[in-house]
Amino acid sequence: MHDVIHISIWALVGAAGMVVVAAIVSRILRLRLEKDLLVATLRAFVQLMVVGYILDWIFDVNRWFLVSAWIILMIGIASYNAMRRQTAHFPGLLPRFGLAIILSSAFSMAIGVGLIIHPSPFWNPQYLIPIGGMIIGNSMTAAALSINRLTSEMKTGRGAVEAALSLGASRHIATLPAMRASVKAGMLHIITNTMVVGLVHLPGMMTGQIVGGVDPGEAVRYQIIIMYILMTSNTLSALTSVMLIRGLYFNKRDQLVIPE
Amino acid sequence: MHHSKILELSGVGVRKRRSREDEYSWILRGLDLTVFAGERLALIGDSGSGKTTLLRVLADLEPIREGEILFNNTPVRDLNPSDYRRKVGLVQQTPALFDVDVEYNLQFAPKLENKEFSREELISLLAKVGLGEKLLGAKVETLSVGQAMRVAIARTLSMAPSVLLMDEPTSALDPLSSHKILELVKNLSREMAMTAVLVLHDMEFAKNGADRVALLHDGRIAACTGSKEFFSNPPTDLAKRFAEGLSRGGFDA
Repeated sequence: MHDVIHISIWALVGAAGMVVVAAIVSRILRLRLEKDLLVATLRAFVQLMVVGYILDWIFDVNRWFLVSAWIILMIGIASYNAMRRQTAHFPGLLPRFGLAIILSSAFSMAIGVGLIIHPSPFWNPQYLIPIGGMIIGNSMTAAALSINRLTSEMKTGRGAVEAALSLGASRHIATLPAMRASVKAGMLHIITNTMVVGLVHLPGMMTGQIVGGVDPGEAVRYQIIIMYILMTSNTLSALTSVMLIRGLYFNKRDQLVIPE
Repeated sequence: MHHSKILELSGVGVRKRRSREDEYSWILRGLDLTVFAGERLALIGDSGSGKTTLLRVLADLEPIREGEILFNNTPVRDLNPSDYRRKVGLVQQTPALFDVDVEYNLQFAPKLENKEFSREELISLLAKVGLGEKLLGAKVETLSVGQAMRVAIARTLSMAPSVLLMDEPTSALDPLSSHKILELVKNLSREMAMTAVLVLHDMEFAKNGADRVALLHDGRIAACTGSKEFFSNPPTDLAKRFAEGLSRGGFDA
């Protein structure tokens, strides 16, 4: 490993100065974004510093239950975010997003980290926390995209869904085309990203590893594994969230009641 | 001629809101209506009077807040939704065909019951709605609106329902094609001894094609009587306005 340049507090302050450029543009064009820029700048600083301290502590103490607690916290926040990103809100979304993200990311972490990268112990925070975070974050995006698509399919495709119901189909059969389109929407996001990976932008983890002193050749191997894992976790997340949530659009008599 | 009641609605109320920001309001309230087996009943009324909602209630697609619906004297809420909907088939105002080919649409209902139509059965189904067998393999996006409407009717007929519900395709079709479709439904209901409830904007057809007319106003049935009587001797002022509209060439949707 090469040495990493230490970032001093003054370097951080200097970087914050870069935000001034954005503030000036906002002022000149009267975008009224100055306040948002200030809040974003401060929030990023506080959130990341706090996370940095907590992670330092988790890495020092190095106990499985702390690592698990952190993963669970990430899943909770991801589920909440997936729900918040919905165009239509209805009861029962949050626990189902939670379950979908738990199932998809647990499976992907078990195979990807446990079997393929194979750190010892399995819960080694150096591997499980950053990779788990990427899996959970991508599962969140896939779930949120899929369900937003499902809602819009129920709206624009209402005629076809109700035509199927009128012909005696159950809600499950009536929503099959909408389900396919929604799962596809969740999967396409990662497939597109995977296609251009390395060409358009270097992914965050690879960048981090290279700055951290890892040889690019090694960093690339990690990135390849991650992209493959993410394709699985996104697919599972899109599929399970759609399976778990599509029933919520209907009442007990299989009448399509959401969106209104 | 009309003996048994096939559908009986009493005190039916539906509450809806137009958007999530809107307040709930009653679209239908305290609505009573009886449909007799074998008749053709026309539902007429101004736009916003609740005609389409009432048709959706009959099709069991709209939740009701109040009241009861009996189908052959059994409460609809006690019937399995799929079983009920197979007996009371809906043809929507826009065809909403499944995005495959015509055959897929016609096989959809039988396949739900693990059955399949033979080629002969499919051809005779298409013939009923005045379409030729060469359309069987046609992709639905290649159909004209009139053809799509006929396929939608055939798709509903594939269940051999005892009641046919239909929203007049005014938005999708020109008046002449719309009239042809209604004539087709009239003849079909006659041949198949099928009850039909039709939302109509075409008063000419309501007069000549329906046995009875029900006029909706503010979510209730404002008048319901035999169609000849409705047009020759309108029971209310509102009915008179509709009956007179006929001589002026009909009402807009």
